[in-house]
Amino acid sequence: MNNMKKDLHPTPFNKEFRWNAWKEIQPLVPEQGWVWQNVRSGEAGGKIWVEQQIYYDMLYTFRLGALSPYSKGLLDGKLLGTKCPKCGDITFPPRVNCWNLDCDLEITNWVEMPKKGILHAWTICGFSAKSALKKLPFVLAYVLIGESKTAIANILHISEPWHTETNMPVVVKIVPVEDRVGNLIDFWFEPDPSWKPGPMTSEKERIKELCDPVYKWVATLR
Amino acid sequence: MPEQQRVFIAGGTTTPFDYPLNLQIEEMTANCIKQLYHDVPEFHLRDVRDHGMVVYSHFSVHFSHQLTAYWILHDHLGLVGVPHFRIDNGGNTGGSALYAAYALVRAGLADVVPVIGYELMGSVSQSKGSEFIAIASDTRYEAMLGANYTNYYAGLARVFMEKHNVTEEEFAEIAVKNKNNAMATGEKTQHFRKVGKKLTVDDIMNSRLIAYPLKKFDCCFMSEGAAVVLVTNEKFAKQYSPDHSVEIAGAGLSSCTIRAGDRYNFPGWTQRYGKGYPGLGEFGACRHAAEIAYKMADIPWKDSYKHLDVAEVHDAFSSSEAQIYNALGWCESIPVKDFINDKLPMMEGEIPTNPGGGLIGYGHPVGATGLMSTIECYYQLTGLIPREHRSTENEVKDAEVGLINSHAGTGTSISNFVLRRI
Repeated sequence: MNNMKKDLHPTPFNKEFRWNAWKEIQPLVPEQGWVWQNVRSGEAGGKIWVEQQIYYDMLYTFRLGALSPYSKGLLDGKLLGTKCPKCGDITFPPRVNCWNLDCDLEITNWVEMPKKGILHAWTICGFSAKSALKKLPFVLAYVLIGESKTAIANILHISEPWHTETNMPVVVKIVPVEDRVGNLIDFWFEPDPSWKPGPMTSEKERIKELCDPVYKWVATLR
Repeated sequence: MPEQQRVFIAGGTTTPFDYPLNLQIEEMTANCIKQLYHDVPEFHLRDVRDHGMVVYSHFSVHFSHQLTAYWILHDHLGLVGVPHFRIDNGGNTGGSALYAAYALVRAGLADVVPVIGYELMGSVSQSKGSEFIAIASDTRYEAMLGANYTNYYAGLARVFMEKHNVTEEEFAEIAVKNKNNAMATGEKTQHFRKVGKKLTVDDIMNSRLIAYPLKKFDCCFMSEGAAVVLVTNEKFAKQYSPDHSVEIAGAGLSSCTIRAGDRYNFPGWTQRYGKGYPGLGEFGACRHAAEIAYKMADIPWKDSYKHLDVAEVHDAFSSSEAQIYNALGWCESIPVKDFINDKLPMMEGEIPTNPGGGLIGYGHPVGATGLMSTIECYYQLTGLIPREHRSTENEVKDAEVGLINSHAGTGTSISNFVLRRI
């Protein structure tokens, strides 16, 4: 074991980073800690009750470390996955050490992934987290990109979501450079232009029927 | 060195589950312990002080707006100088806390270990709550999409439908079963408190789309509540509950990837079960944990349900219950579709599953959930249903062997236990 090569991810000193630029965000998202907002009381079941509302703000900083090339890749309009130099396994999303126990956590190499893949799993969402409500109904898809041994989740843009089909070919689209944030939301899937949906099936009809009230509900939002 | 001991459950109880429950965590817990004092008069926390430890089961500090909330509970219960720690393992927090208590007693490090679980989820808006749960998915690659766990599970369910030819209606049958079982369990269950009537397959099918194939009533709801399970060695089980104890005859805990998309070719699974397994449609950790638990309890893998009388499983969604049937080895000789249509998991079937109502009927206050499943299974095996439930409609008469299942992430951590009446 002692003669095993110690090939670690580097840990630079803080002085090598340029932190100051972050201060620009602070006036936009002021952090005030615990903020008292509200209190009310009443009576139920013969007992008094009190409710307090307290707002607590927090701004997270994700320091991407060894994953930074993935994020930088998105900023540059590229999908970067990883490949193990020992076993050759490619994964996207990336794994900065190999997942194969026999490869002894070998540090992987970055490889550019093609902007196309095969849709393996999907659902049509009729409800979601708050940030995505107005996009409903949307398709959440797991796609195998290129030769990746893992599938990545993202949104499939398709005009009639009920036509989504397992194993359909999809392409990756990337948002314009000025909108990129180096995150998953920088890209989405679309059906490959050569793909044509199959005929309506009873399942497609059912999904279409389930989507109808969702379209109507979303139209009433704000 | 302490000696290995057999492990028993000598009692257990829950608060009602509801959303919100309008209680603080110390009163929920104190209520549970006082209820135990009533139900198991020989038990006292003094024994925990002298011979035990406490394992706390709590998922999210985001919900509790408090780090180490169990520190509040521990001294509130009058305990100082007694070892305590908290388990968090996503939705499998309850099962994992039970596993920890099992390990402590098994190893001879403690003789009386109450497992105390709780969750407050109504402290934030429901949509914020969904986001809090979604940050148990990989925030770098999944949560950012604005999807939540229902969306992920629906994608898994659709793969399972395609692979096993299962329909939406068959999932709905499972949801109806669990909601209606909860009506017999009574006022502790969220379905009884919130909806208060039996539902039909049409009610499920006509409820709003959450993510295909799941509609509103295919899903468990956000809940609050607490539960306590009393884990002991043989000596204390005989002292506390000579007629109402069960042995933990098998305990299995296993794991799978955080991201469901990483399950096609994971070297660890390929080496164990061959290429392509579990994929997105199957729960590899459930299968593995079941294999371990069955082996300890001397239950064969194939058609294992024939060796079990009752099961309480983690039906966060109706579809996941069907996936769990398969992952428990119940559908080796009968396709999962027929397993449902032939009513094997219904009250009148060969392996009544979630007679207590499950998460869909009883509720899912995460840290308390796996303990609720344990307690419902314990009541069935000890003949306590007439005492504990509103009606005996959901009693499995003369049940001797039970299974409990607790489930996290998109199948990321799963525990299975075999309980045996003594």
